Amino acid sequence: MFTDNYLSLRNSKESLAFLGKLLVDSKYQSLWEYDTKLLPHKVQKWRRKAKAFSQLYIRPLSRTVDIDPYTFDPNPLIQEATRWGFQTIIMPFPLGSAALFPYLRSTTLQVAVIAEEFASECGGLALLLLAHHLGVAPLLLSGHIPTWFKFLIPMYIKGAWFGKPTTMAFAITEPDAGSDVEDSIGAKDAHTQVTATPVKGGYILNGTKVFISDGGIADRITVFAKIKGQGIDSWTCFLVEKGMKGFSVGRREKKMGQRASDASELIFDNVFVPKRNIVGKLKGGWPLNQNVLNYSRPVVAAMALGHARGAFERALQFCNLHTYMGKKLIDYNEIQYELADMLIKLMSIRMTIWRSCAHFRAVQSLSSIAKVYASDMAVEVCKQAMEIMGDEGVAHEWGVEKALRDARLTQIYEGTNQINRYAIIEHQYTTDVAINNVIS
Amino acid sequence: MVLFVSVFLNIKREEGMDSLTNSDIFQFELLTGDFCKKSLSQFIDEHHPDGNFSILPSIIYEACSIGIITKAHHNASGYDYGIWGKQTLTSTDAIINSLTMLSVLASTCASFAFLAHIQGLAANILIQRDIENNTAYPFLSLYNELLPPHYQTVVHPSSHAIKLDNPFIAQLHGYGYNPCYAIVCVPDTSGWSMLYFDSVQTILLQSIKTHGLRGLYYKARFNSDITATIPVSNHTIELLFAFFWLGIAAISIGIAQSAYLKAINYAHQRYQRGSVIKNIESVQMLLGASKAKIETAKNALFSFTASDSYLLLKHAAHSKLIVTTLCSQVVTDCLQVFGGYGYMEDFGIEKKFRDINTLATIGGSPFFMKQFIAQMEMEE
Repeated sequence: MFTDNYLSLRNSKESLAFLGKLLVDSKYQSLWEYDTKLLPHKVQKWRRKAKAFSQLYIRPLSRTVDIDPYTFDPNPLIQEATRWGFQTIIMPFPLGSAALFPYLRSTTLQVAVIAEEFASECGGLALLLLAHHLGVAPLLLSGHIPTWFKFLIPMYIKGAWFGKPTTMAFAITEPDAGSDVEDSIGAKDAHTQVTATPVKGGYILNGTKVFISDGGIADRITVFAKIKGQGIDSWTCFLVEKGMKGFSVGRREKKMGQRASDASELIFDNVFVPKRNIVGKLKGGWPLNQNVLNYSRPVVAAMALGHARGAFERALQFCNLHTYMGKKLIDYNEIQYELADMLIKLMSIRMTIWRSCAHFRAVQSLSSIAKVYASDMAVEVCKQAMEIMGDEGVAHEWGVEKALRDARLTQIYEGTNQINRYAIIEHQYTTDVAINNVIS
Repeated sequence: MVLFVSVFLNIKREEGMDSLTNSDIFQFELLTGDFCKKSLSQFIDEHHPDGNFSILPSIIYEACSIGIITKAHHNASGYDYGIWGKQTLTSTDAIINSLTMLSVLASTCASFAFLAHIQGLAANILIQRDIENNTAYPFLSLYNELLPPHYQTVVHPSSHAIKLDNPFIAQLHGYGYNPCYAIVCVPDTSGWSMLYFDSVQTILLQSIKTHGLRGLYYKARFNSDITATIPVSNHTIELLFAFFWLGIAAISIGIAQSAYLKAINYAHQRYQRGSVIKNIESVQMLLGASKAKIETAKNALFSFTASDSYLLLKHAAHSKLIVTTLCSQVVTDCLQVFGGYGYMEDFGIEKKFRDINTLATIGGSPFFMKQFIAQMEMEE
C-alpha cells in the first residue's frame, strides 16, 4: 500500500538534484535501528546483543512460564545471561561488564537499554534477570571500596570467567511498610518491623520482608533493617547470605503478571550477620535505599516500555496476518491510525527514559518522571493493542494480554506512581520553589 | 429460599405480563444478593481465584431453580423474569431487572455473571423461536470471522455473508461452559441465520486461555456439514446485540462497585505515611474519581426508555463504550489503592482488573464501538 506509492518521498526523489537526493532519507530501516544509532557505539552493541538474547532464550519460554511459573527452573537462563555478560552490566570493568566510557556519561543507560529488550519478550523473565541488579546496586552505590573488593569483583570473575552466576536480591518492603519506605516524607512514620540488634561481632536480624523479587532464588540479599529501639534514620543495609542460620524463604506470592519471577516472603529469625556484611556505613541505609530507587526507576520505566513495545509488535503482526472482509487489517485507515498513535507513545516514552539517563548520576525527579510516564503510557499502549485485536486480544496465545498484566506492575513497584509524584515535586520544592523563595 | 422464590414468581405470572414494579426489581436484587452470599461466594476461594469449576454445575442448578438464570422451557422458574427471560422482549422494566441482577452477580463473580448472561441470551433467542431447551450450559457465538461486530455485520448482514455449507467454519469464537447446546448466529445472504445444536457432538470446542473470565472462552469448529439453519430477523439480532452489550455494561458496573467497596475497606485498614491511607490525599483522589465514575456509568446504563430494538441497540452501543471504559478506569484506580497487595491473587482485586479489561475488549472493544456508533449516526 505504501511501499509502491509513487508519490512517496522515497520513490519520487529521483526527480531531485544530486545533492537533494542525498538529503532524502531513503533507507529501509526500522525505527528501532534509527534509535539504536543514537546510542554510543558500545551501547549499540549491548542493545543488539540483548535483542538477540531475548529472541533466542526469552521468547521460547515466555508463554509457558507465564502459565506455570512454579515448576520453572530459572538457573539455566540466569547462567546463560551471565555468560553473555548481562548479569554484571550494572558495573564497568573491573567490577562488571558495562562499557566504561558510556558508563561515565550515564550509569543507568546500559541497563535500561537491555531492560527494554528483555521486557519486550517477557516481563517475568526480564524481572527475573534484572532484579539481580537491584540487589547489587547497594553494594555499588555504597562507594565502599572494601565491599567492592570483597563482593563485587569476585562475583564478576566468577560469572564472566567461570560462567557461575551469583544471584542477588534487594529487600526493603515489609508487610506494614510498602510505599512508606520509598519516599522521604512517609518514611518518618513508617511501621518498619525488621530490626537489627547489636551483639558481639555483628547484628541479629529479626522480622519479615515481603514481595521480594528473586528472593526465593537469590544467593545473597541486601536487606535493610533499623537498629533496635531506633527510627528509620538508623536503617542499615546488611548483606544476608543464603544458608545463614535463621534465614528462610516463606510463601511465594501468586501474582497477576510478571509471573516468571518470584516475589517471595523472607523470614529473619535471629539471623546473625557479621559486621563485615554491613553494606556501606552503619545507619547509612536510608540514603542508600533512596539512591538505589533513583537508579532503578529508569530501568523499571524501560521495562514498561518493553512491555508496551512487545504488545505493539504483536498487534502489528496480528494486523498484518489477519483479514477482515477481504482486506488485511493493517490496510484499514483506522487501524493504521491507532497503530501510529501507539508508536508515538512508544517513541515519547523512550525519549523520556533516555533523557532521564543522560546524566552520570540518577536524578530523583527525572527518574520518577520516566517511571511514572512510561508505566502509565505503557498500560495505555497495551490496552490499545488489545482493542484493535478485538476478541483475539484477550487470548493468551498472542501475548498482548500478558503484556498488559506485566505492564500493570510497573505502575506499582519501585514506589507506586502516586509516591513517585511526591518524589518529583519534592525535588522541585527543594530547587525551583526554594530558589524563588530566596529571590522573593 | 427456593420456596419463597417459587411463590413470588407464581404471583408475578398470575399478575400478567409487564407488571414489574420498582419494588419487584428490588426484591429480585435482594434475592440475587442472597444467592451470592450463600452459594456463589463458595465458587471463588484462595485455591481457585478464577472460580472452582467443579462446583459450578450445582451453583448453576440452584440459580436456575430460584429463577435467576433463564432456561428456554416454559416450566422453568426463570422463563419470564430471569436474566433475559421472556418479559425482556416486551418490558423495559424486565430489562432493568436483568441488568440489576447481572450487576449484583458480578459484584461477587464476574465469570458467573457472564455465564448467566450468555445463557440468558441463548435462552432468549430460543424463546423467540419457540424452541424448548431445558439445559443451562450454552455455547453462544454471535458473529463470524475474527473481529467484533462492525455496523455492516449487525445492521446489513447480507453484505458480510459467509458460506454455511462449509463443513468447517474456522476461527469461530464464542462463550459458554461445558456446553450441552450451542447457538451460532451468522450473517448469510438473506440476513441472519441461527445454527442450533442441541448437543455438542457436532461442534468441536477448544478452550482458550484468556486474560479474564477464564474458562468461558472457546474456539469452535463444526465437525460435520451444516444442513439446517433457522432464519432469524434483523429485529431479533439487534435485540440480541443490544442485550449482549447492555449485559456487559451491567456486569462491568458490578465489578467496579465491588472493587470500589474493597478499596474503601482497605483504605480504612491500611496504615501508611503515619495514618490510615483513607487520609492520604492521593488515595482520596483515586477513590473520589472512582465513585463519580461509577455513578456516571450507572446513569448512562439505566437511562434508556426505548423499547424499539434499533434505539435500544444505539443505547447499548453507547453503554458498552462508555460504561466499560469508565469501569475499567475505576478498577485500575482501586487496584492502585491496594499497592502491591492489589497485584496479588489474595485480595481478588487483580481478577477484577483482568475481568473488566476482558469485558471492555470482547464483543466490540472501545476502538470498534466508536466506529460502530459513528456509522450508525452516518446512516441516519
